[in-house]
Amino acid sequence: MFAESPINHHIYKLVCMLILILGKNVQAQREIKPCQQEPAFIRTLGYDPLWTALSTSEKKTVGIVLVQFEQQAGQTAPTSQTPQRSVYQHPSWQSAGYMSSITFDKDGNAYSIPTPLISMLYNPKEKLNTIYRIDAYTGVMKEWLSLPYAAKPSSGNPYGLLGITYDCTAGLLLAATVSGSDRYSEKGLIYSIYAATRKIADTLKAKDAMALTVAYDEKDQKRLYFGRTRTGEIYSLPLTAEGKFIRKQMRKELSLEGYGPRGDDKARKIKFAGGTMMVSGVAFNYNLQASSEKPETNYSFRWNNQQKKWELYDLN
Amino acid sequence: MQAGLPYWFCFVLAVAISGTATAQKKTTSPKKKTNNSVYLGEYKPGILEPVRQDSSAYIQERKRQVDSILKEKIPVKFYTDRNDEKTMLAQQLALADSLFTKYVWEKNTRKPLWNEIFGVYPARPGDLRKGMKFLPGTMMRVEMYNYALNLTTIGLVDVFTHRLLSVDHFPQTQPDIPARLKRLAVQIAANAPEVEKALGFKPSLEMPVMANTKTALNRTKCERSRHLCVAPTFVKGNRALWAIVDLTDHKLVGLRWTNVGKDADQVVVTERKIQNENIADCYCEQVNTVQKSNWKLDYVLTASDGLMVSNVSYQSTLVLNSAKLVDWHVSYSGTEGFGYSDAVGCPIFSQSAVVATDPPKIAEIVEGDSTVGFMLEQKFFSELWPVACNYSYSQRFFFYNNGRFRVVCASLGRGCGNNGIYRPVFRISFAGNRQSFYEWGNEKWDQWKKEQWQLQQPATSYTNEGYQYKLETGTDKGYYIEPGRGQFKDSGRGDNAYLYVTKNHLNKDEGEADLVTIGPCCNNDYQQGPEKFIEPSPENIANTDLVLWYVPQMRNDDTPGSKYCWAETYYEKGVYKVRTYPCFAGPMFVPYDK
Repeated sequence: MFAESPINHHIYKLVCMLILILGKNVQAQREIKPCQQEPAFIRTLGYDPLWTALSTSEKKTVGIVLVQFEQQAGQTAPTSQTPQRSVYQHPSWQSAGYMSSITFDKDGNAYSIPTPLISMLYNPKEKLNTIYRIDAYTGVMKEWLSLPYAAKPSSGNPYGLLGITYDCTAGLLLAATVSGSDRYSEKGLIYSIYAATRKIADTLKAKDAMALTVAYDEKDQKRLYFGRTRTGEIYSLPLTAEGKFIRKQMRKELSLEGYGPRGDDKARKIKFAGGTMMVSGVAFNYNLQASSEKPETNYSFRWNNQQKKWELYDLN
Repeated sequence: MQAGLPYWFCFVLAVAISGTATAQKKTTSPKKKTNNSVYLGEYKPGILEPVRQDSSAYIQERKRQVDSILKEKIPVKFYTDRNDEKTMLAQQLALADSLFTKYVWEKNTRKPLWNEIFGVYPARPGDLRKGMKFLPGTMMRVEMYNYALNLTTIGLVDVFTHRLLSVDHFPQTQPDIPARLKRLAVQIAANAPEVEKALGFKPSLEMPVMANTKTALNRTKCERSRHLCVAPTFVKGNRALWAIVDLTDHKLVGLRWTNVGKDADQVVVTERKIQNENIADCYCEQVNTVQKSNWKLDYVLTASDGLMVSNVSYQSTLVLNSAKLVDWHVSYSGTEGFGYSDAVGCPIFSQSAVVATDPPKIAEIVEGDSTVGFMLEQKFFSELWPVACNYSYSQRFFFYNNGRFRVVCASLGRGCGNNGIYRPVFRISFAGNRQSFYEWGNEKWDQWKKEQWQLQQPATSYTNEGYQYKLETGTDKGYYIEPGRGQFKDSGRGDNAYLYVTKNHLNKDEGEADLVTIGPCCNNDYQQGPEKFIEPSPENIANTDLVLWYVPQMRNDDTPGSKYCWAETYYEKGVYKVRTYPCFAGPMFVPYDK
């Protein structure tokens, strides 16, 4: 109906031109060009890196596994529907218990964090703040860095590290722990760490977070975006080349409160692509509850530059 | 008020669920509470008693409407807030299309599900898709809600060409509700005694200020029950009382005070939040006391050891230091080593995998015409139960007027398969420091001198009364222990239990405090966890403080007619409900005093 009318057609053209003109001056938030390399040991083991993936989500296996996918005719890369062909696990990949979140650096080393699943049986409390690294060449996983606790994990909060990401522009690892937080006090820490030296560059205090990512904001400033685990809010703050947080410029980006089938999701993952912020939301209540299907909702937000806010445009 | 949970909020709840029990509170945490909610969890049907029926005329009328709709050729209630020609025609056109009505019947049986058209509106610009051609003002958007599946169907209808141009189905989504449902929600809330109690007066039907606003309705969810819920909100001074109403079950779910102010519209009050906060405030952070039938005891929900009773006394004599449910080990025989170690307990800030969502319940034990004691029960749920690979458990304590007591638990299914074995681990710490333990064998009581374990088997010897063990707590007095052999009339088929006796060390903690996971899921022998307090050097246990560990073993079954440790959904009046087949297990303790 709208496009059928000649008058409306002119308005439509005008709007398109306006978008183009404005677009020149508006820089939407955008992703950082990835620098991560595939781990060399995957080829050494005889696998095609394109048709394999490291996973922490195999239900019947503790730790990390390398999943090899069936190569499908007509497909250039595996999809979520691609069947598994085999699963490989180096003996050291079980040593830290159940794990979550894997990030790679520019040399192909993989970093991961221990996260208890359903019970504490395989995840000793004293290791919940330890980052593990799988060497890009040997494929052996070892403890990489034990981060200081704000307070030790207690029966009231079984978690330590919950999020990790790599900043390609500065060689930084960002890691978030909620260790020691309880119902009444938020003691979580977000660390900025030089991957090359394991030196902690900065620590953001009193922030419980899970999802972490680094991206450029609308002013082309690099920011750390983090999803808070108490409220479903996503915050961000600038991150300098030296790995320092600029706390005074911390801001709230958006909240998942009220959205989706559950209404109280917390951000598990944040990803930027093509001017869109994609957030994977899950229920999180500082317990070990896990359901069969791990209900997760993917929320897509676009930046409205006029109103200076994120707008939800899709969820599934 | 906002800064602290008012005493009566938990008290209202305790009275609501506890019948005539005398309940008192002891706060375990000195910290200030920040929440202000009450959850009116009715006891879930299936085990003990039916859900309370609301006899209000408006509820009965609503139920009659539903019954009537289910008898229609197409089980869909029409939208009648407006009855202009275009509105009616749009609905008729939509319902004539099989894509639009795809989910109005059960897929295999074609049983009618309960559906209702919530709204018919002129199509919005965002609804239109590329290539759609129609005359101005002829495109209508029809929104239908399916109560059974919690699913919204949206159809775009051209009332000029009589064509349905598009259909979308949105699972776990609810459209804006029509005016008549808003009125019903307000009626349920305004007439609820809990709302009157919270406000200090009975509100008028005109008083809720937010029931008719999109904000309140859209920002309320019943994410656990997956029902249609709305929140009439009563403003009093600078505070607002949210009353969450379940329009699938026609009941008030819970209440929550919020502040009215600058960021008030960002507050989201949901079923799960109210449940979690209420359980945490009233049962995890407060020790409750019950005094009844010659018994007095404290109870509290733990972070990972289920509901714990402590300081249990009978006729003023201390009987138990504590009793709790440490773990549930679930193993599946189909896959070697596959299963879970589930801790049960508080819903937030805990190590529990299966959590308490409803408050504990106290109920009378009736035999014949007499009340012979009382029962304390706590149930635990996974979020998606009874969907496969999700779990629910029940934990019960029975206290009898004559001094007997029983420690019980059950799996309510459903688990990951029909080849599962459940092994709950009880820890029972008796009071006193002059205890000795005996096992019946060769027609006499044989004393256990050292820490050890025993398995109840088909060849096990029992006394004529059915006792396998006895715990002596003093000269010629103590408790006989009667394991389950299917005699307790609770559907239990026998415990097949491991029993361990360990010394209760006063100078080191062997499970007195909250225990992290005590053992792996899938050991098929005595290695369920308590053995770590026995091996490698069993200690002397004669005439000392003792702890009993009791690990029954229940094998699940989904065979029709003999389902056990199982749960399933069933169809009833247009929606789905849950039926459980619990497998109760646990020993009876019978006092003796010669």
